[in-house]
Amino acid sequence: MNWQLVTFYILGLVILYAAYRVVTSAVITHAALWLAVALVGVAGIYLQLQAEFLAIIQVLIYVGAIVTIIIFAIMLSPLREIKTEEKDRRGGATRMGRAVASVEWGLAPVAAGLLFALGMTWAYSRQAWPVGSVPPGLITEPLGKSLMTTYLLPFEVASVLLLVAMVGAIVLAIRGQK
Amino acid sequence: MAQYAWVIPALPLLSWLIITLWQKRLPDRGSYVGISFTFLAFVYALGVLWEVAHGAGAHVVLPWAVIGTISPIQINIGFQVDGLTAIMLSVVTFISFLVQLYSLGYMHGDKRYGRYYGTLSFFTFSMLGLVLADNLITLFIFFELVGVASYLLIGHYFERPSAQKAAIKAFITTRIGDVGFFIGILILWSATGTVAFDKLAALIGEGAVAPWVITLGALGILGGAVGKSAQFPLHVWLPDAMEGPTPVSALIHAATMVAAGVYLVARSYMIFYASPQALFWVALIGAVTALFAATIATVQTDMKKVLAYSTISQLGYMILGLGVGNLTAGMFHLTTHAFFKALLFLTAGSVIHGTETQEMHQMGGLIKKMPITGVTFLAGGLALAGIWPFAGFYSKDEILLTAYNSQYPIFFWMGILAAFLTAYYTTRVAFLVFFGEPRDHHRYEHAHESPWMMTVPLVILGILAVIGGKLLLTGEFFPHLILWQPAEELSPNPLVMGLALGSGLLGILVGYLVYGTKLVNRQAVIKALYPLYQLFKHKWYVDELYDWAIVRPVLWLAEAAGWVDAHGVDGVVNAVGAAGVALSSGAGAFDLAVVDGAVNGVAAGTVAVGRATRRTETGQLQAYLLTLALVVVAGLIVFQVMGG
Amino acid sequence: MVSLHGYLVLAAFLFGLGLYGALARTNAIRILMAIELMLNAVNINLVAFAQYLTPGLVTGAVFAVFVITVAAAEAAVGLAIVLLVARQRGVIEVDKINLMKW
Repeated sequence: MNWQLVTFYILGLVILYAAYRVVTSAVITHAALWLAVALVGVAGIYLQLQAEFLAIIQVLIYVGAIVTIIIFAIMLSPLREIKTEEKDRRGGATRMGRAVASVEWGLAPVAAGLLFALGMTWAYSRQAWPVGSVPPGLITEPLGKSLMTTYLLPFEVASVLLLVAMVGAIVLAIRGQK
Repeated sequence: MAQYAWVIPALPLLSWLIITLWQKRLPDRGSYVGISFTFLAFVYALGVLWEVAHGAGAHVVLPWAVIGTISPIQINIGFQVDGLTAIMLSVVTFISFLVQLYSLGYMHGDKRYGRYYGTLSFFTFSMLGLVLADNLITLFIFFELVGVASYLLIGHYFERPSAQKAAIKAFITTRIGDVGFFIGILILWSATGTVAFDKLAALIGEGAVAPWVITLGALGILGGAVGKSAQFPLHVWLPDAMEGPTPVSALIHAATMVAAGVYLVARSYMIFYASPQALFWVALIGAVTALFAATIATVQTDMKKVLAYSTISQLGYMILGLGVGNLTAGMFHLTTHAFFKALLFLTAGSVIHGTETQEMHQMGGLIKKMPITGVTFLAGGLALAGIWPFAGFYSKDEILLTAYNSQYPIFFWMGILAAFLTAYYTTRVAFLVFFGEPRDHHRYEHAHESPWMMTVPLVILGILAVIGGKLLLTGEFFPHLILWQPAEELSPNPLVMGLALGSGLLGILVGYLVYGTKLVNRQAVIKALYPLYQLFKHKWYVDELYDWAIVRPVLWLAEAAGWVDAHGVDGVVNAVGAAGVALSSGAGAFDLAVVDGAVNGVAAGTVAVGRATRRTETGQLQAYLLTLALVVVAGLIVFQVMGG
Repeated sequence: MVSLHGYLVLAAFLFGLGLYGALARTNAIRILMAIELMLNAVNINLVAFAQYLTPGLVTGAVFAVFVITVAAAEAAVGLAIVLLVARQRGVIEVDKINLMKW
């Protein structure tokens, strides 16, 4: 038994179950908490891939920031139905949405994910991917160097993007207050 | 301190930015910002002057732009501080400070008060940058910026058509000279590969530059000086520039900017000095201008116009001083002239402020109403007339002395004649404005002395007009500061001094006889000298000449071109048009039948397709998203099956 | 040993779940969460490919960093818009918001 493989399977199952609950749970606050679980699982996958830096920022940004603001948004929303909804709905109200998810409520997402995954697996199987393992060595140092040299411009643009997003979010929120 | 001389122009630049950006929030529209920053610059400039007088200096060069890669041309930007620069820095900041202080009273309540102070700061910055420039290109840039500031300030009252015209005239006329200046720069640059003053001086000193290059370059630069310093024949803009506010006339059109041309010649003096022909032209233009403008000044009735022509005449003196080979004298006259001419303009402003007219025939006897203004005007006037021991005497005497000893004594006699006329018209102004009986009693009753912020600069400048000349010569201060090496020491000549002083006194006497007493009948004099009077009154018909020789032909050419356009070109165009109409009526029939049919068919088809496809546009976000996902999946499948 | 395939298949499943959520659920906040899931699946793909196919190069990881950045920006602005719409129109279901149709 290979411990790496075992860890991978456990992580994969946790991620997929949590993601399933994200899209299906009736109470949206629960969905947000399950999202946090799924994102921590993805951080574990990054660790397995020797991308420790990404694992850390995954936890910091996704779990620490994004999930937090989602929960804040739910809590601060004036609408009651934002918190508990979709109990009586089965997979969406659009005609096309219903057509896609006409299967039983709980099975539809699994079926969709499975269909997509199978298609992709079929596509991947046509390629000769290397089977070997991830090269050892930490990623933080080369990542930091390339962010500060080769990818400096995109890096700075990304910082501007964040600034703009922050300003935009504040402006929208303030306008909504009026 | 001299090493950081760039601080001096940086201060007014900063104040310009502050005033321009926040004038509405600053107390009194930011005027105090301009005044205090200029005062700081003045204090710093005095420090630099003190250091330079004790032998310090600075020359800082920074690479600015590099053109080309194979044999790159590097353009430097930099500043140099020597005696010439230090004097100009102090004079410019000093006059600018006093004028801004004066403007507090004079411009009070003006609706573009903030803009006025901002532009004054901008002008001060440009002028200081010009003074500090260490190469021709940098100097040229600031030369133009000064012109822009002048344009803005002449056009300060731009509601008045005359002010608009004057601003445009000043801008365009100086531009003609600047073209010459730029050509001169290009000639020197292409021949020597450098525009820096020190390198040019070294190359010319080695004899590495062909004489004709030096002469042509010098004449080009002289063109710039003629335009900016309002020398004959490009003097026409300066009298019109009196449309600007009077403090502006004092600062820009008397003391500093018009001196930029003189400064330009002084700064590039090594080029002029190496070419006797160029120097001859400099002296000729100076002497002609000095005499010519003085004659016009004798018959003007507008107080500011008299001073404007007087300024042109005195600038001619400076140019003459440079032309006969005495840099020190020219610059000395520039400095003393800055004091007393700024003073005269400011007193004129004070008079205009008190009487609300510029016509001297509506004034008279004002010294009783405006004692400070009157006394300071007399001090400035005596300095202008060159009477010992006032400031103008020393500088004018130096210039005339050099002219007397030069190859061309005719310039000396022209200078003496101009000095006589100068004294005459100054006396005339004094008697018309300040003495005699009030001619307009209504205005006389309402005349009043100006507030303290206007009289304080008058008093300061008045004191300088009296003692400035002697003060700067104390311990040979000025000659040591600005010393042109080859100029030999000239011993004072009693004959020259006597003639200069005598002509001035004679001028005052004649002026007194004509305007102070009733001994001479003025109408009889005018009648006797009628052709001359007409000639002077019409400013030697220069404006008319330009109108006849340049403006009319250009208009005529335009009209001729218009006629050709109307008859020749339009005929062709109309013929083409008629042919087009004929062709298009034929095409129209085809159009109706075939093209319209096709177009209508396409339209109908589009409507049908639109009707069919509008069902897909549900406005539902998720429907669009689903379509997107399906298309991507389909693309993946196609890619896998077709490509692999 | 985990092969590249393992990661790719995991990512495909995760993406599929996210896609379903984005398509079939109507609560706008849940759609945003589903989009985050899809972005994570993409990130797993990017990192896995980078580590297996170009060992020593970090381009894929750099890309993942930018994706996370953009995701953060998108979440902030998206939630602000959702809250604004919820306040002004009183609905959070995207199928009731059909302003895009005119």
